[in-house]
Amino acid sequence: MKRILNYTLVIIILLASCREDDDTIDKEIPPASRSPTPYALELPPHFNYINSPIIPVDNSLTLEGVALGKKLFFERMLSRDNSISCASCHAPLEAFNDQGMVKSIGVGGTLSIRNAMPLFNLAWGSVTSRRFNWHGSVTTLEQQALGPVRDPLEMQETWINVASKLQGANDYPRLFKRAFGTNIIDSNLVVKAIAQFERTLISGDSKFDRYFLETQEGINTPGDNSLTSAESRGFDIFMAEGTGDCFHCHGTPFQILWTTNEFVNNGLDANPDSGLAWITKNPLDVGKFKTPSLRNLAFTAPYMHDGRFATLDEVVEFYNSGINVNSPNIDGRQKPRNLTTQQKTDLIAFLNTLNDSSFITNPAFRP
Amino acid sequence: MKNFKYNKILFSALVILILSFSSCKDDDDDTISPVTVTEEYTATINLTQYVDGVVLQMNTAGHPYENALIQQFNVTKLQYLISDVTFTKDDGTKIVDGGYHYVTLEDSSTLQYTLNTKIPEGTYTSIGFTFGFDEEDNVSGAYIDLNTLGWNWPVMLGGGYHFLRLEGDYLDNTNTSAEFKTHMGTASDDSTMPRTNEINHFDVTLPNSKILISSDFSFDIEMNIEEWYTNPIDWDFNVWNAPVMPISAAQKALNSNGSSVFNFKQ
Repeated sequence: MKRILNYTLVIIILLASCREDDDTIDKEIPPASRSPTPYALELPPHFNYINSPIIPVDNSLTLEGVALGKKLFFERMLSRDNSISCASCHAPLEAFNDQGMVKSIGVGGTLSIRNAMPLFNLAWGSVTSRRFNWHGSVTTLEQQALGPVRDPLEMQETWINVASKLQGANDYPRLFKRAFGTNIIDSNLVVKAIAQFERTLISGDSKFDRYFLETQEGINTPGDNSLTSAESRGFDIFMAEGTGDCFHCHGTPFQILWTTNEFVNNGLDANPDSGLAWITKNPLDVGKFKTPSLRNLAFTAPYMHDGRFATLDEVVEFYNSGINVNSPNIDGRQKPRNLTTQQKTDLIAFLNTLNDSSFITNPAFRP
Repeated sequence: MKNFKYNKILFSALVILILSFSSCKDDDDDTISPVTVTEEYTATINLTQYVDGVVLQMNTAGHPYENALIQQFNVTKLQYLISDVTFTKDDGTKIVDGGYHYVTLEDSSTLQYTLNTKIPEGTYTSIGFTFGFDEEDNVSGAYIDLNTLGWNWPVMLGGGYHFLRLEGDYLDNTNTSAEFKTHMGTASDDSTMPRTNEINHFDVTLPNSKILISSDFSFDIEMNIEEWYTNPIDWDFNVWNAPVMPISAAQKALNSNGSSVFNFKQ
């Protein structure tokens, strides 16, 4: 009897000891049928050389959220006269850049002040400078998506109107309900969905990626991805402090993104645009802009924050001989390179190994 | 026998009872006390930087500092890497924290480094660390946070990672402001074909770093920037400004000069 009593006591204690936690779990897990489905980013294998993608805890990726974000990215109702969408200035075939435009055209033909940035690998950022836009005006993709809708040079719409238009459309309330559990649409949920889609825009399948996977990881990749002599020489110029010295800002093969995401004044002008200082109000940030990735350059001309260079030849010649060394806050690494014609050709040959055709033709990124 | 059986049941019940409490994380601290022979404590390192005994000022107007050759300079960037912090006892026993720490003056949160390894109580005769990575640790691509920062050292120069980036401007021999970029890593010699690469980290034993540890503690590792450019080799900015990464002699000079760069303070 004593034995039974003892076992009974133990069982009761065992059951009672964790009751509080069990209740919590019951409350936190909604019925599976109502939950959006988690979306797992598919990363190229060599992306394990860098930090994990940064996904905000309050906006985890879901199949429903990403799909809604894609629909919104191509949605012209985000603009005042329903004429343009995000994709109008960020087209998939141009690595989400603006189809050769120096500066993008907003509603009614207004001209923006900067070249539209290409969009890929946005879920990563450096530890020291996780900011978006050329001048670092925002620190999350969600914040970034708020801007163009109400920008007087871009979509020229109010978020109240956008929410109202979407609320009245056939599909959207249902799609928001699926993605976020509510059919009441507001700016917060719109930018969350767009940011989810943008985080899926991963580019990591260029010739150099395949070369790296084969030589570094021993992974077989389709096609012949060995570097030509010119590409190989160009890579050495890129990596050599004494010649190109590109890698200090644009990264190394192990860095994968081909940008350190730092804000730098590369010496474009003697009296530069305020750049990052427009946001930070720090005079030491005048002329500093976000270092862009060197991936997909074949699709993203023209170059620089104001699109001043139409070709890669012009860009390389600028770094070779055109730097304004007296520009305020110029980065210490900027100096005339004095490359030969052959070296410049080789450097461009290497840069073109970073183009990822499968990214721009990926059907997952089309409407 | 019966009594033994009863005791066995009671013992089983007690074990299950203890396990039932320990299964809930919140209760851990209340019910199980760790049994330790020696107390262990948390070490926090403050990374500080000076020039001639004065706290380093970055991005100053003009060129407020002087090297041993009376060449004036300023500092615009300072980043460096330390690893394998080691506490050594009288009897030669060493406690080594195998971690590493990247410092950039652009991010004040990197100026403090808390070791993962807890340090047992006692008296230690010295504290030391490795500047950069030793041969075992200096493996290209091995550290994802450093890769993300682009802190890699080019493979064609021996690979691994940068140990130091110290940049600024100096007044050259025509009294014109010119840039210097003192980057340190593997020493690579291009006078041979193919290049020969030599490991270039150095181990620091901080002077006068005897310490009694009886509670969580902190101390400073002071970097004296002027020492990178003297003792024993006077560094001439007119010769070694930028680039110095591919110059083996410059890399080795930094290694030699580095031994007097760091001080201990508590």
